[in-house]
Parts: sequence; structure tokens; C-alpha cells
Amino acid sequence: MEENPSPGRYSPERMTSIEQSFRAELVGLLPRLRRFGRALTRHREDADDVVQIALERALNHHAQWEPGTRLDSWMFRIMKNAWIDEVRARRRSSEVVMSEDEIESVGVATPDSHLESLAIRAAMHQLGEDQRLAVSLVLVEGMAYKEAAEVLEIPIGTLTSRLARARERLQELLAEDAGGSERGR
Amino acid sequence: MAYVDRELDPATAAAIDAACAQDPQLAARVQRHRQLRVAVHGAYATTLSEPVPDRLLSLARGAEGATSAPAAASAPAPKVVDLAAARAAREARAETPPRRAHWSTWGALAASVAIGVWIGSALLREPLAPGETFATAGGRLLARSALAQALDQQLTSTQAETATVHVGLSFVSREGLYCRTFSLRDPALRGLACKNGADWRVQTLAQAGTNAEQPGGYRMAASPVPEAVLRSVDQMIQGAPLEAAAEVAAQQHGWKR
Repeated sequence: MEENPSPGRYSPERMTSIEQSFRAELVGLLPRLRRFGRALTRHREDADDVVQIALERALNHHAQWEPGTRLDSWMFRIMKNAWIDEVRARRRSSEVVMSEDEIESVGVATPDSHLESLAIRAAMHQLGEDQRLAVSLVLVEGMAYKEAAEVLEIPIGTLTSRLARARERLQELLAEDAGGSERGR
Repeated sequence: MAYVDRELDPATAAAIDAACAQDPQLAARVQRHRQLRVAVHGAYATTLSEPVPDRLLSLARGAEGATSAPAAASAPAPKVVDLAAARAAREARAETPPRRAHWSTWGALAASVAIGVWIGSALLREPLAPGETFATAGGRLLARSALAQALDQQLTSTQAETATVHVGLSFVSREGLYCRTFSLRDPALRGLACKNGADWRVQTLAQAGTNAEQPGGYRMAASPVPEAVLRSVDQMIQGAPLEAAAEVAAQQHGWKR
């Protein structure tokens, strides 16, 4: 993971050690949180916006995190909730947005592997929110069923059935795409 | 599917292996599932290795007086709907110094705090009866009964949500003793105790805060940790809190070093 170097940007001695280790763990989680955000959203900026909202909520509610328990599950849950709030807000304003991926691929020659990633991302965006959340946590983030179910606050059975349906749908969409017209020639 | 996700126990997984060897159709289905998993996982691999944007790094780090870089427009083409208004609002929030405002209650505290017993006035009116959660001996406050038991035996990773005593973090103090934070339901108290010889000596005790409104419906543990407890931990801790494995080891050694 590459970190932006920013020496002397903060004064560790003025922070308590709990705050320091909390923040250090948060920084360490950022790449995974960004990846999760990217799987959930259509635009890289939106992904980072969701991460930012989650960070702010986490910092505002740091006292609710029990030191010694898993910070990553806690953060993913916060992000999940931040994303759900965002989705509801968007539905209310009924925005129609063209995917950044779709824009990039129009009229541009793209190598096959990039095409595959684009196809997968496009297929992901066609899934319902519940299914996309399940796939993002288990397939993209590599979480175990139990952990993903805890983050989503649903029973494991619900998680696995959403996963199974999501995978079927993804297979269908990707098969269509492969057999259908060429993308981004 | 669970097979490809490595959620099956070894025996069942082995059975599926064997079945695949016999049944090419099954093997093909498993292979498709595997390929999908690899492909979906890989589609986001680039994000993981991207440099983290400054605005997120400074927010997480709590840079003093940081002005986060505005969210750079990375999309090469204009979007159909302009999300600029929402984004501008977020950028404005991100650029408001100081980021440390979140932690202002901690940041403002004086550096040296006497460690002692800090108790809400209601508690120590009556002499403590035997069988109570606490006992006094030689001018010290000791943990007893359910509290002492929980401190000796409970682990953060395995304790029940409904337990009457909830243990928080464990650490080694600068004096070389094992210490643990705890919270009690009734009375609602949070504190810190260190194992010295046979006893858990209570270093700090404070009334638990009220259960603040929890937005987003998080199912989180209890109330905010009182400042007095946090200050004590900070004063006493040597290094970082114990991780799960170290906690188990300490418990197995009876919290003696």
C-alpha cells in the first residue's frame, strides 16, 4: 500500500495513546475501505466520499468502539450504514448517473483484462443494493460469511441466499455481455 | 458456493473434492464459481494499491490545522448529473480545521492526573457489605465476587453481550502489572483494575455516561467511556493494549507476569 508522505503533519505527543492507536488502525484500514466503497459506488469520488463520511462518523463516535474488539468490522458496518443513507438520499432526489466506467470505455481501445474488470463492475452495478453489499463483503473484501453477516446485521442464512442469487445474476450478466455486442472497441 | 468460499469444514470439502473427480458437470460448476470469485475480487484490486487521497489520510490521522486537498476531479468526462453541490458540501466539512475537534474532550485534558479512586458521590455512603462487588482493605478498593471473577476469566473476544460485567481492554501497566477496564450494569459504573498478588485493585471508577442516541442504528456496546477511565489508562499503559491472543495467554497465566 502506498501512503502519501506527510511528515510532521500531526503531533503524536498531544494525542492519548488510545487515540493514536485508534487513528493508526483507521489509516491502515483506508485501502480496504476505499476498495469496499469502490465496489459499492459508481464513481471513484463517490467511493471516497462514502469513506470520508464513515471516517467522520467513526471519529465522532469513537467512544462507542470498545478497545480490544474488532475495529475493521465496526468500520465496515459504519460504511455500510453510510452507504445505505446515501442510497436513500439519492432515491429521494432520483438522480440518474452514468457510470464513470461507461464513460471511460466509450470509443477507447481497452485491453481484455481491463474490459473484464469493466464488465464486472458494470454487472455489479446492476445488482440490487442488498446483493451488491453481500458480494462486496464476501467476494471483494474476502470476508467470512459470519463476519459479513455481522457487518450487515443479518442472519447468515439471509447472507448466503443473497450471495447465491447475486452470483447467479452476475453469471447471467457476464454471459450476456460476452455474447453480446462489443464494448469500447 | 460455500465450497469455493472456503466456508466448509475439511470433511465436507474433501467429499466435494471427491465428487468433482467423479462428476465433470459438478466440477465445471465449481470451476465457474471459482472463476467468478477470482474475477470479482480482481476487478477491484487496483483500488487497494492506489495511493490514499490526502483528504482521507489527514482526516484519519487528525492532522493539526490540516487543509485537506479538495477532492480532485478524476473523471475525465463530465457526468450526466452534477453532484458538485453534494461534493462541495463535503469538501467544506473536510477543510474545516481543526480535525482534532472530534477529540476535543481528550485533547483538552491536563497532562498529569493523579490516579486514584474517583467515584460518584452515591456509591460510598454505606459501608460495603460482604458479597458486594467491591471491598475495601488497607485503604484500597478491591474487586470482589462477580467483578473479580469476570476480570479473572472473561475474554473480550468471547464474552456474552448480556453479561453483568463487561471487560474492555487489557494491558500491561508501567509498573508491570496486568490491568483491565470493565463496565458494570448495576450500578452503572466503568473502571480500571490491576491484578496485584491475589487481588484486582480498582484504580479508577467512574459513573457510566448515559446511553447517547446511536445514529445509523449501530448495535454497539453500551455507553461512552468516562474520561476518568480513559485518562487512567493513558497514564498507566505501557505500549499498546493486548491483542486477543495475548489476552488469552494472560488469562491462562492468572494475570501474573
